Amino acid sequence: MKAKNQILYITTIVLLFTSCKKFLDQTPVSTPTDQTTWKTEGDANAAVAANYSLLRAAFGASIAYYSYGDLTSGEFLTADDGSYSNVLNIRWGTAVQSSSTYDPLLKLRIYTPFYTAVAQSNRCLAYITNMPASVFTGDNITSQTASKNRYLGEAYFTRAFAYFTMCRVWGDIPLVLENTEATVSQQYVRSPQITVLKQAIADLTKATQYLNWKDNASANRVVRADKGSAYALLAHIYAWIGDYDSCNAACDAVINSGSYSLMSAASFMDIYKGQSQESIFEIAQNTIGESSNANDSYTLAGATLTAPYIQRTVPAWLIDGSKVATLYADTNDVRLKNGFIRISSGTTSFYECIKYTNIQSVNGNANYQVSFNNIIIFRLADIDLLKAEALCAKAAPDYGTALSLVNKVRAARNAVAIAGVTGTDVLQTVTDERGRELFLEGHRFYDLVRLERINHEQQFDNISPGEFVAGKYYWPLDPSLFINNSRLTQTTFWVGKVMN
Amino acid sequence: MLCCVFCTAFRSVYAQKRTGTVFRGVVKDIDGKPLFGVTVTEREVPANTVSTDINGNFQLTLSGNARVILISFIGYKKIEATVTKPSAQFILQLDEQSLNDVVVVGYQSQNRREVTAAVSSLKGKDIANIPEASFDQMLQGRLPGVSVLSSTGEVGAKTNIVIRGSTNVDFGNANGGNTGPLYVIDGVIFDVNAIGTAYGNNNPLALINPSDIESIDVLKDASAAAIYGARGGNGVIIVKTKRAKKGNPQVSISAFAGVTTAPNLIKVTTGAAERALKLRLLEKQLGYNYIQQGLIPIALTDSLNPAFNNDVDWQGLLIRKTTVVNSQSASIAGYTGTTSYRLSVNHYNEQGILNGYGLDKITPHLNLTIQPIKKMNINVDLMMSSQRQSHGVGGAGAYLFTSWNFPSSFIQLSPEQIAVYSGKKNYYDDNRTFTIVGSVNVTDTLTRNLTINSTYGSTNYTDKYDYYSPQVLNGTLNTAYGTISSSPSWSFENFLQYNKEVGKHRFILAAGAALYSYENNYSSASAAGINISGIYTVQTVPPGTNLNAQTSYARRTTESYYSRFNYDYSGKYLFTASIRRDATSIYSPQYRWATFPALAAGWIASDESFFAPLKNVVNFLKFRASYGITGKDPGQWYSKFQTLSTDATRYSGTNGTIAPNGYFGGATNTYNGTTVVSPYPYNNYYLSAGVKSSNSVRWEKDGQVDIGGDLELFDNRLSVTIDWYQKDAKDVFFYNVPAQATSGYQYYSGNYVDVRNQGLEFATNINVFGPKSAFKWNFNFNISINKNLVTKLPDNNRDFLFGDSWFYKTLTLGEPLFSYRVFHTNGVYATNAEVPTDPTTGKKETYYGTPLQAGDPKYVDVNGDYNITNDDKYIAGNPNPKYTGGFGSTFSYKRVTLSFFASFVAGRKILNGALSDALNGSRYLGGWGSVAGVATLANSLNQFWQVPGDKTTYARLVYPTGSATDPWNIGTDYFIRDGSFIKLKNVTLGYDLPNSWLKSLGLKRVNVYIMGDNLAIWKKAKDIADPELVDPTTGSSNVIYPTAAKFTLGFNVDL
Repeated sequence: MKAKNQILYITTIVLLFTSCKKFLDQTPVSTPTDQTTWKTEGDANAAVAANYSLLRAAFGASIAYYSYGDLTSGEFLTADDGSYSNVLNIRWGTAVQSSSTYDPLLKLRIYTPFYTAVAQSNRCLAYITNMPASVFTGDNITSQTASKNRYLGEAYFTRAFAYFTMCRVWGDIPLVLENTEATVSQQYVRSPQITVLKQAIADLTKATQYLNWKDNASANRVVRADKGSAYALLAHIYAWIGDYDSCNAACDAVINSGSYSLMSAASFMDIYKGQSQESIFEIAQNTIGESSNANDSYTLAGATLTAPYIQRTVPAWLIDGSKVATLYADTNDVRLKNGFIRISSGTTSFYECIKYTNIQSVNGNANYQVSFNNIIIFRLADIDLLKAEALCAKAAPDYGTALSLVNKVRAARNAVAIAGVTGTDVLQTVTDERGRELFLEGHRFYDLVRLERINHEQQFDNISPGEFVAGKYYWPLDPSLFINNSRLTQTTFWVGKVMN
Repeated sequence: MLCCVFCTAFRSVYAQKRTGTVFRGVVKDIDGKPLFGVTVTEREVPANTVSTDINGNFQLTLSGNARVILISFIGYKKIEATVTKPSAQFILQLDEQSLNDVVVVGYQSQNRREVTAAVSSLKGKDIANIPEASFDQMLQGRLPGVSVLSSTGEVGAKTNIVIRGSTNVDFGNANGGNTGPLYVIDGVIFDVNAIGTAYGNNNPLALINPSDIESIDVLKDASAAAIYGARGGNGVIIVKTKRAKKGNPQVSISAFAGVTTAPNLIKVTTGAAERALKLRLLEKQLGYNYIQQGLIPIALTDSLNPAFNNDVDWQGLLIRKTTVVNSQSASIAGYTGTTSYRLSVNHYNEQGILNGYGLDKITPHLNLTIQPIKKMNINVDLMMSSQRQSHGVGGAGAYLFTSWNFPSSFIQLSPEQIAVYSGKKNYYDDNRTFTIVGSVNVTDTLTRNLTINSTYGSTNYTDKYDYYSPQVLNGTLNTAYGTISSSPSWSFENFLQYNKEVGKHRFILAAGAALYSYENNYSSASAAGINISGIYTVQTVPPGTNLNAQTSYARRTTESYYSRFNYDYSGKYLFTASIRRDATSIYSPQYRWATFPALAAGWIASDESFFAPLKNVVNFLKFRASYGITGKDPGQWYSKFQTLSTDATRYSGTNGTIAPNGYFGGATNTYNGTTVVSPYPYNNYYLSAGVKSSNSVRWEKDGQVDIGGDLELFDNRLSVTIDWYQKDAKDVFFYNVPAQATSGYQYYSGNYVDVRNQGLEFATNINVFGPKSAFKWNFNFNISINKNLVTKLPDNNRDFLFGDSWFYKTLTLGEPLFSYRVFHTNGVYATNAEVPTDPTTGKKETYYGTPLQAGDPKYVDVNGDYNITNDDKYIAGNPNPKYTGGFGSTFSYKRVTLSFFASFVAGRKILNGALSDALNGSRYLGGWGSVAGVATLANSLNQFWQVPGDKTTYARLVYPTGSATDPWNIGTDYFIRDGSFIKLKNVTLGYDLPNSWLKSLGLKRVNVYIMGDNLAIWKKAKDIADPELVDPTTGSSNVIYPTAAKFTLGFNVDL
C-alpha cells in the first residue's frame, strides 16, 4: 500500500510540474512593448506618428517654435513674464533658480525634447528596416517595399528636421544616429554643425527617394512628411549653410511639382486652420483630442492673444507696433488687414496678430478654451520667397526673377507690386517680404541671421555686429545638461556667460 | 523530480526491524487531542526511537531490561515512564515557558529553544481588543527590527512596514515599489506587494480578524527567510490563526465600542480678524501703494462686499462631532470525532473623523480538520472579508486640509457645499472590497518518519471603488468614476519531510516544490457631464472625450524547489541548512533562476556540564549565528520588456478632459488621429519620462549575517535577546539612473545598486515578582538601532539626485538612502548691510543671480562664489529612522489588570512640509484672498522678518510681485525637524468577573475592560502635529488626514 501511495503522489506531482513548461513565460497584454510590437504596418505607422508627436512636444515645451523664431526677432517689444523678457532681449545666460522647473528660459536651453524625437526616428529606422516587406500594403514585393520605404522616408525626414532645428538653435550639437542600448549612457561631444547638416541632407536625399508627392486625398497630407516637405526642408538647410545654388534647385523641385498653390487673398487666413493648398509641412494639433489650453500663458494663444479670443485683456507678448507699421506700408495688404487687429486697453493700444485664433470652448463652458491651430512650418509663399533669396545670394544672382517672385506673393495678398528696386537691394526687399508674409511663423529670427551673414549689417537690437560674428545668435546649453555629460562643451559665445 | 530522489534515497533507511517486547501507546495533550510526531525513546537504548502517528499512536519494541521510555515533544514537558503493561495512554502537559513556544519558521514549526534563526514573535492576545481595522497597525514598536509607520490617519489605510532597514531605491515607488515584507497566513502566501487596489490606500490585511490571531512570527534573518527565497528579502511575517481544542465546544464572544476624540485643530484666525491681520502685514511690508493700485486681492480690501464677508469655520465643517468605533466577534470551536472545526466571525465598524469617511467590515473564518483515513489529515481553511469604505467623495473633504490651499474663511459657500462638507448630504461614494484566502492541505504519513504535505492555496482581493463627484464640489461637471481591481493568486506546494533520530543525533530533512501565480486585473471608467438626476455611475454620457475607460491585465508566475536540513546533537548543538532555487517570469530565461542558500548554527551553552555552577542564575544561554541569501524582484512584473506608451501629450496640451481639480487634463494619445506608440511619454510635461528597460534584469540578492544570543536569568524571570546583523542588498534594481539627454530617455534601469543595513536589536522581558506573588508586574522593552548606507552606485558611484529640482533627495555613496540635499541657512539678514559683498566685483551676494536683501535667508555659500545655487546644497539628514522600539508593562493583582504600551522612533529627520506649503501657498499676493496662509500662523508671526533690524528664524512673509527669491522652498534647512517621538499607543484596564457570579450564568470567563488608544505623544518637533505621519519617500510631514485618540469599552466572554 505504501509503495502504491508513493507512486501515486509522485506521479501526480511530476505531472503537475512538467505539464506547464510555458508557465514562466508571461507576456504583457495590456501594454505595448518593443518585444511584442513591430509586427504589422499599423505598428510601424503608430511608431512613425510618434516622431511627429514628439516634435510637437518639443515645440510645445515653451512655445519653442515661436520663442526661437519670433520672440527674439524684433517682432515683439516686451514680454510680461520675466523669463520670456530675457528670451526676447537675448539675455539667454540668465540664472534660473532650481525651483523654477517651469521656467521658459530653462526649457529653451535644454535640447532633450528634440533628441527624444531623434531617438524615436532612430528607433523607427532600426526596427522598420528589420520588418519583412510582406507585412506592408501592396500586391507584390515591389509595392510592399515601397510602402515600407515610405515609413522609413518619414523617419529620415523627422530626424533631419529635428537636427536642422537644433543646428539653427545651438549650432554644433551631438550627432546620434544609432539605436543601441549604449546610447543611454554614452557621452556624446558636439559635432560640427556642418557634419550634422550634411547627415540631414543625406537623410533627406533618401527621404525624397522614398516619399511620394502630396496625396490630396490623404487625411495626413502635409501634416506628415512627403516629397514636398523633404525638398522644402532641404531648401532651408541649404539656405542656412549658404549653399544657395542647391537651395534654388530644392525650391524649384517644390514649386515645379504643381502640388501647391498660393491661397487667394480672400482665403489667406485659412492657411492657419491647417492643411491648406498652400501648405507644405505642418505639425498637427487642430482637433480637441490634440489641442492645448488657450488660456495657459505658456501657449502661443495665451502669450499673444486677448479677449475676445481668450480671457486676457493685455497680450503677454506685446507686438512692436512701429515694426508692424514699417513692414506693412500697404494698408490693403490682407496680411495686415486680416492678420492683425488693433486693441485698446485703457490709454494704450497695440497690434495683435490673429493668425492663430481658431479657439473653441469645451462643453460650451467659456472658462475652458482650447486652441486648434496647427504649427505651419513650410508653405509655398515661404519657398517662393526663399527661392527669391537664393537668386539674390547665389554666385550668379538673378535679381529680376527674385523681385518677380516677391511680386507673385504680393499679388496673392492684395498688395501692390514693388518696382524700382534693383541689384543687391533686392535681398533686403526679399527679407522684408518674408517678414511680412511669415510674421509669427517661426522664420523671422533665422531670416535676419541669414541676411546679416550676407550683408553684414546689424539686424538685432541686442546682438552687436561683433557679437554676431562671435555667434551670439546660437543659444547656450542649460547648465543642467553638463551634470550628466562631462564631454559636453558650452556654445562658444556663451562660455562663462551662463550663470548658475 | 526532486521528490523522487528523496523518496528513493531514504527508502532503505527506515527499513529496519527489531525483536523484543512490543509496547503500544497513545500520546495526547491535556485537552485529549492526539499528538502527532511525538518522539518516544527507550532510555537505555537511545537509538531505539519512534514517533507517534497522526492518531498519537506509537509502537515501540523494547530491547533493554530497564523498560523505561522517554516521551518528548516540542512545546510540552518531557515524560519519563516505566512500562508495566502492554499498552498505555500518556498525557503531555504544555510547557508555558517562552523558550518552549512554538515558532513557525516556514513549512515547519520549532520550539523557540531550538530555533537558530532571528525570529521575533508576538502572541495574539497581546494585541487583541485594540480598536484598529488591521493587525499590522498594532505592531508598531512591539517587535525589535520591525519598523511600522503610517503616513495617514485615514481609517483602514496601509502601513509602511520595514524589517531591518530599507533597501528600496525605487524613488516614490515609481516602478511599483517592493518594500514590504512577505505575509504568510496559515501557510498561504498573501503577497500584499503584488496586490492592486482601486483606492490606493486600502489595506488588504484588514481581511484578518485580529482576535483570530494565535501568533505572529517575523522571520528577520536570512536563514529563516531563505526558505521563502523568492520575495523573502524584505523579511517574512507569518500569521497563525487559532485552532480548535479538544473537549467541549469552545464558544467565545467579545465586543467593544467607543468614541474617537477630535484631532488637534489648526489654530486659524478667521473673518474680520483674518482680514485685519493680512492687511496689516501687507501694508507694513509693501507700502500703501499696493492697495492703491489694486494689487491686493479684492477679498481683503473690499470688506463691505457680502461675497467676501464670510467667516467659515472649515475644520468645524469637516470634522465629525462624534465618531464611533465598534466591533463584535464570536467564535465556536471543537471536535466531533476526528473532525475539528473553528468558525469565527467579526464585525468591525469605524467612522472617520472627517465627514464622509468610514469603514465597515465583516470577516468570517472557517477552519476544518478532518481525518478521512488513518494517517491522513485534511485541513481546509477559508477566510473571507467583505468590507465597505467611503472616502469623502474622492477625498474632496480631506483635500481641503492640505496646508498649501487650506481655504480662507472669506470663501462664500453655497448651501449645497455646506451640506456636502458637513456630511448632511452624501453623494454616491462606495468602496467595497471582498477578500478571500482559502487553502486545502493534505498531510499523509507515507511510512514511519516520512510525511508528505500538499497544499493548494488561493487568494483574491477584489476592490471596487465608485464615486460621484458633483459639480458643486469639483466646480466643473458632475462626474462619475468607477474602478475595479482584482488580484487573484494561487499557489501549489508539495513537500516531503523525513525525521530520524539516531542516538542523540536528530535529523529532519525536508524537500519540496512550489508553483505560484499572481494576477492583476484592473478596469476604470469615468464619465463627465452627467446631467440626469439620480444617475451616479458611469452612464448617460455619449462617447467622446468625456467618457473614458481602460482595462488591464498582468500576470507573474514563480516556480521554486527547496530543501532544508536540520540537525541537532542532544538538543545542544543545533544546525540548519537550506537551499532554494527560484525562477520567476519577470526575467529572461538566462537570468530567471537563482539559488538562495542559508546556514545557521546554535549552541545551547547552558546545557554544557561546565555550565552547571552558573545554572542557578543563568538558566538558559544560547548563541546563534547565521548567514544566508534571500531574494527580491522589482515591483514591475514585465521589467525585461521595453514598455512603450501611447502618450502623445505635451506641455499645456489637453484632450479636452476637465480633471476633478477643475483644470484641463487628459492625455492626448494621437497624432492627427493616429494613435502613437513610443517609449517616451511626456505626461503633459516638457520632458519625456521614458525609462529604458534592462535586457539583463535579474534577481536582487540580500546576503545577511546574523549573530545573536538568548539569555534567561533567575528562573526565567528575566529574558534577553540580542542580535547583530549586517544585511547587504546586492544588485538592487534601480529604476532611475539618469539617461543621457541625447538618448531621449529620462532614465534607464537595471540591477545597479548595493545597500547595506547594519544593526543591533535588543529585547528584554522582565517578570519583576516571582511566580508566587499575588501582584504581578511584567515589563518589556525593545530597541533596534539600524544604520543604513549606500555601498554601490552605477556610473562610478556618482551621486543621484531625485525629486523635483527644488528639493533634491540624494543617493550618495556611504550615506543613507534618500538623504536630503538642501540649502543651509544661518537665520535671516536683518538689514541690507548684513548681506555680504563680493570683494572682487563689489556686488552683493546673489541667489541665482538675484541680489539678496534684508529679510532673505542667510544661505551658506559653500563654494564662496557669492551666488547661491544648487552647488551650495549639501546633505542634512534623511528620513530613515535610526532607533525604533517600544516598551510596555502589565500589572495585575488578582482579577484586575492594568497595562500600557508605548512605541518610539528616534534619529530620524523629517520636514515640516505643512509649514513650507502654507508659506508657498500664500507667497504670491494673488493667493492671500483665497487661502488661509498666514492666518494659520498667527502664533508664530514674530518668528518672521517684518521690518529692517528684525532678527528672526524665518524669512519675510510678504514678497513684492515679481520677486525672484524663493525663501519658502522646502529644500531649505529651516524646515528640517527632528522626527523623534514616543507615542503612548495603548492603556488598558481590565477586570475578570468573579467565578461565583459566572457559575450561575453558566459562563467560563468574563473579562471587561476600558482601553485608550493613541493617547499621547511626546515629540521633538513641537510644530508638527504627528511626526509619525510622514511621506516615506520624501520625508515630508504634510498631514492631509489627521490621527485621533480612541476610547473603548469592551468585554470578552467564554461560554
